[in-house]
Amino acid sequence: MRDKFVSTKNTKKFQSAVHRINHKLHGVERIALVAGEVGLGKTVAGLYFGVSDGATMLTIWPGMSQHWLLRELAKELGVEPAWRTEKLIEQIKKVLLEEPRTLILDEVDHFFSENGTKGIDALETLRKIHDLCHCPMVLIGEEQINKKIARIPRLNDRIVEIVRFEKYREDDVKDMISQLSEYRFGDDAIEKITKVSDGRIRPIMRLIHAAEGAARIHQLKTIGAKDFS
Amino acid sequence: MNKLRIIGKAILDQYPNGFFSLDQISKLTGILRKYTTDVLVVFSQEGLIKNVKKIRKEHVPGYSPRFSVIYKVLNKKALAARIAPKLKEDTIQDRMWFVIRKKQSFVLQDLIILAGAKRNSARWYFKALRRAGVIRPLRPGGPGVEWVLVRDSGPKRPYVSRT
Repeated sequence: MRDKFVSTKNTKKFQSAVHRINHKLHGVERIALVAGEVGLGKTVAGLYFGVSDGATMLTIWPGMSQHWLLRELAKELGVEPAWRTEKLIEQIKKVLLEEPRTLILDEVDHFFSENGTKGIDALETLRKIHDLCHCPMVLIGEEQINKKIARIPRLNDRIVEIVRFEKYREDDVKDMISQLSEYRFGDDAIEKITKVSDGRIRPIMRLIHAAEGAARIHQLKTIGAKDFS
Repeated sequence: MNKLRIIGKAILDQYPNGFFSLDQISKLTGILRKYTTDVLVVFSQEGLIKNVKKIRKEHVPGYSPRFSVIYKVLNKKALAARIAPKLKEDTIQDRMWFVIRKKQSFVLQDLIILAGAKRNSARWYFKALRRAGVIRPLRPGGPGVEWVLVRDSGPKRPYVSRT
C-alpha cells in the first residue's frame, strides 16, 4: 500500500469548505460545520488540512467548560494561559489578531453531552472569539451535530458551510484502491470490500491491506473476492 | 555558545532559588565582569531578572568605582525561552510535531502521510525525539511499531540535536 493521503469525495468537500471560509470579505461569516458518522475520516481530514494550512487544532473533551476550553486554546496558540477568563480571552484575541489562522475544533458533540449550559457557554464563547477576531473556524462533529447546533441560533446563523461526510460507495472504493494499491482488484473484490466495510474508511484500509498481503503470499496479479477475508 | 546563552544557562542551572550576584556569575562562567554586566543589563531590560541590591565596594584609588550587585530571576520560563536556540518555523519538523501532538499515539506512516515527510526524515525525527525522551515505542522494535508521546512541550516543536 502506498503511503499517501487519499483524496476522496469527502476530503475534497472538506478542502473546498476550508478554502471558502478563508475569505477576506467583510461581514461574511467564517464558520464551517463538518458532520458525519464515526469512522469516515473527519478527524484525519482535519489533521491533514490543519497541517497544510498551519491551522490550530483542538480536540474537545467531554464536560469541557468555557474556562477549560479557553486555557487549552491559549496553550495551542502558544501562550502561557492566564488564570482569569477575562485575561485568557484577551490573550487569545491578541494572538489571533496578530497572526490570523484557522481554528479546527474536533468532537464538538462533547459540548452537548451534559444537560447543563456549560457546553453551550463554551460554544457561545467560540462564537464571540470568531466575531472578535474574524478567524475561520471548522467545527467537526457527528451526524446530528447540525441539529444540536441549531439550538444555539446565534451560532447557527454564522455557519456558512455544512460538509456532510458520506459513506463510501463502490466507485469511491475503486478510486481509493487505484490511488493506494499497487495491485489490481477485481470488481468482485471491490464489491466485497464495500459491503464488508459498510463504506467506512478504517475497515476499507484494513481490507485493502489484507488483500495485498494475500496477493503477495500467493503471487496474484489480480485480487478476487475469494482471496482475502 | 554565545555569552548570553552561557550566562543564562549558568543562572538557571546553578541558582535554582533565583538569587545570584554579578561576581558569582562572572567567576562561574569565566566571562569578564564588564561583559557579564552587559548581558545582565539586557536581561533586566527584558524583564527577565531584576537588580535587587547594589552596594558600593571599597574604593581602590586609580580604579573606577565597583559595585556588588545582587539579582533575582523574575521569570524562569521566559529566561529559558530567551536562551533556547532559535528554531526555523513552518518546517517539515513542525508539521511532524503537529501530527505527533494531535495523534498522541502514532506510527511512522502517519508522519509520512499526514505531514508529507520523507521516510528517512520521519525515521530520523523519531530517533531524535526518542533520544530526547519525548516519545517512546509501545514495543521494543520491528516494523509497524506504535509510538506514544510522553512529554508534550506545547505547539512549538522541541529542540532536538542533530548529533
